[in-house]
Amino acid sequence: MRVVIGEDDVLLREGIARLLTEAGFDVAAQAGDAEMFLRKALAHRPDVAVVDVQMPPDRSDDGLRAAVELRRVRPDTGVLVLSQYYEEHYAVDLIGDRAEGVGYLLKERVGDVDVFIDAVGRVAAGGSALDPEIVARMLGRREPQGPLTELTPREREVLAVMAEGMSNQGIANALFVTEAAVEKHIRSIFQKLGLSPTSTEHRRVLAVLTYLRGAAATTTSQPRE
Amino acid sequence: MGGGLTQRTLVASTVLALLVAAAFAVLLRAIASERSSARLATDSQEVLAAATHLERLVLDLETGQRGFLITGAPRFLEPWREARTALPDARRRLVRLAAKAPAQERRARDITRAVDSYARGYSAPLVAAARRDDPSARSPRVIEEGKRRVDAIRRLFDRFVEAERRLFAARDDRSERDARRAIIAAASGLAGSILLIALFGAYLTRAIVLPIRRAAGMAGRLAGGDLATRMPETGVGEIGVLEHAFNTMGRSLEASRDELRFLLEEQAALRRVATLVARAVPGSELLDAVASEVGGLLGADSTALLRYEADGTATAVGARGGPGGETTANGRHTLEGTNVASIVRRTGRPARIDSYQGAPGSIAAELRARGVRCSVGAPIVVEDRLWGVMVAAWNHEETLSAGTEERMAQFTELVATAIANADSRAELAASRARVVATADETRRRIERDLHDGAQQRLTHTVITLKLARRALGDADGQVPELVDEALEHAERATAELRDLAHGILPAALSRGGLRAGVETLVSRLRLPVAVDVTTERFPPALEATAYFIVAEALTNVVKHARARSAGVAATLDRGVLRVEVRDDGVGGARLDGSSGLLGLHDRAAAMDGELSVESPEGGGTVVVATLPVPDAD
Repeated sequence: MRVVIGEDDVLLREGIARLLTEAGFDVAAQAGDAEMFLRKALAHRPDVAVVDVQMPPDRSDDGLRAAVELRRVRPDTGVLVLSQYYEEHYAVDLIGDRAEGVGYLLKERVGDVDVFIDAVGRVAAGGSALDPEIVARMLGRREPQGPLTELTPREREVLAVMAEGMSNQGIANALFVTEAAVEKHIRSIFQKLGLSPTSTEHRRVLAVLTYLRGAAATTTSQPRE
Repeated sequence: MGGGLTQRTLVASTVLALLVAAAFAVLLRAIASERSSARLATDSQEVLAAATHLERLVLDLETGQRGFLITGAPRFLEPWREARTALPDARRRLVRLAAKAPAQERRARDITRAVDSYARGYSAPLVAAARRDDPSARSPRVIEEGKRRVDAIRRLFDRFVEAERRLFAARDDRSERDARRAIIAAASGLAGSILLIALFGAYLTRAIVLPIRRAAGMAGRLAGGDLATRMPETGVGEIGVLEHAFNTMGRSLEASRDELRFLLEEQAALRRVATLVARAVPGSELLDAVASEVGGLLGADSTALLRYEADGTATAVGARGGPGGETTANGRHTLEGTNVASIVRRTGRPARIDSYQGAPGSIAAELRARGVRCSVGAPIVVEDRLWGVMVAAWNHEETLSAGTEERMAQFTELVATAIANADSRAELAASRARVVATADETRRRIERDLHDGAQQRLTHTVITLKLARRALGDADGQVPELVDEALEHAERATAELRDLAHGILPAALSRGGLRAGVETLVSRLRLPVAVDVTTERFPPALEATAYFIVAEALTNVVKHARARSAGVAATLDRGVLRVEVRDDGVGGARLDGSSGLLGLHDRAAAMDGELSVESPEGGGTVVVATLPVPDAD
């Protein structure tokens, strides 16, 4: 798996590169600003690009824009963006209407090496990866009386992990249950939420995200637990 | 006119008095003469009566003596004796009474002598003789003598009486004549007096009454407001003085009224200008209005306000009038040559030019060409600095009073105030905007610093600790525990720092605009909040202000309102962004320092906007801010 890294923080960039190399990835190129990153990514055609949202020259969301551009030009390149903090519209802009090969992690997630490496791998393989914290935030905004409230706690857990982009196996591992139980939960979830079941992880992610976005986009938002 | 009214009156009165006196004198004389005539008539009567009485005495004497002579009876001597006794008195009386007329007196004396002679010389001896029985007493000769004497006496008496009667008639005639004359004199005197009085009255009327009536009429007209009325000065003496005084009064009232009118107009104009100044009407409108008022008040053909520039030129900033009714060319004029603006620039004091003939300079030439004859300028001094000048120009010959500069100065003072006010306001607004901009800039810097510095470092720390934890593997003991603890702290620090950065200036606001910022803000709350925010983007300062208003208002809702739900709305309507935050809580919020809304109010004001709070007790709260969207520069 070939990776291109875009990160202006040199220490962090080096750290990511080392982690990935240790995990068996081939770090094809590194860049310190958005423009160079995009050039290198287009040139080296990696399987996945890991890029910081805030990069020079503007340090606002140059990296994000470069990522979006990259996805547009090379749809088959996975893009994993790292962000200092959670901003919902990063996820929205990035995912657009296609959650395939997209990931959004908080920067500190890099320290959770396993999670990080796993996410990079999923995105490279065309799946999705959403930072659990981000999912938690999105799930936190529930309707007062909606199907979400009808989920059992276990189902909510499953939903959360599923929204992160995990496969059924990944969900089973994360929650220490059997895969069959996961499948049962997922079916129940989709049914309660009124979503048509779909097996592909990224489509599931998209479905859930869309659902959650729809819930959030109605003019009422509810307290988090 | 010459002798004065008093003298004339005196003269006329004197003449009249004399005339009347004369008439009365004649009358009195006539009366007196009438009286004396009447008295004389009475006297004649008395004289006649006395004569008759004496005659009768004589007759009594004769009768008595005859009777005695005839009868010899003593009883006939009684009347004889009585008569004889009464004779002296009667004689004396007659003489006395007849003494008024000398001729009559003589006659009366004649009579009395004759009577006395008869009485003593004849009658007495006769009676004595008869008593003696003297036969001579009865002799025919004696009787004849007696008869003769009596006849003579009678004849005397007759003559006397007739004379007396003639006298009486003459006196009577005279008396009548006198009376007639008196009546005529009195009548004519009276007529003359009446005529004179009438003439005098007519004269007085003409000389005094009519002028006074005219004066009263004029006074009435003056009182009624017709101050232009005058009266002819034809009167004599004091009347003439009165007429003249009335005319002078009319003139001075008229002059006072005109002056007062002008003052009122001036005050009204000043008040109008002051109102414009107080209402902070925009500069060009104000200056044009001032030019208009001053020009109208002074009757100038054109008025202009010029601002002096640093490079020696002057810019016209307000004007009225000029050829064709349009303002003179707006724009800059280089100040050179002789003209009011240049003089005022040099001296800093009011100036006037009475004629531009032969005045040097292009401005003077232009003014001549436009037909300007004379002009006056008053300096406009703003905060002790010569800012500009107000110039009024006349195209016709006009004698300008000395107070013109002062009159203009009252207006230039107002203009200076307006300019100072506008400057102050502009400065204040700029200062506020600067304060807010600085605050925002500081925020941005802090956020950037946080992000670039502390946050990054913390992220590093978290990552490093995680890696360290991983490296420790499943080992137990103090080290893994310590690492875990450190990691926990670091993660919490990261979260807190993130929240802090977000609170200072959320990234969502900068990148996604107001709506994104509000949504993120709302997502962190434990309260259901309805969001209806336009997705339109605005200049960063405006978005920041709107965001902070929402943030502060929502903070208040969370802290104080005890609300069950809230709503945020932001809509763009005709160039104004209207931001509304409402909740259904307990209300009672006030726009003062206690709620932090005051700071929002200032922030809104710094952006030329307004903030209002409606928060009845128990009735929820609505915070509304209206922020004008600045035009793109």
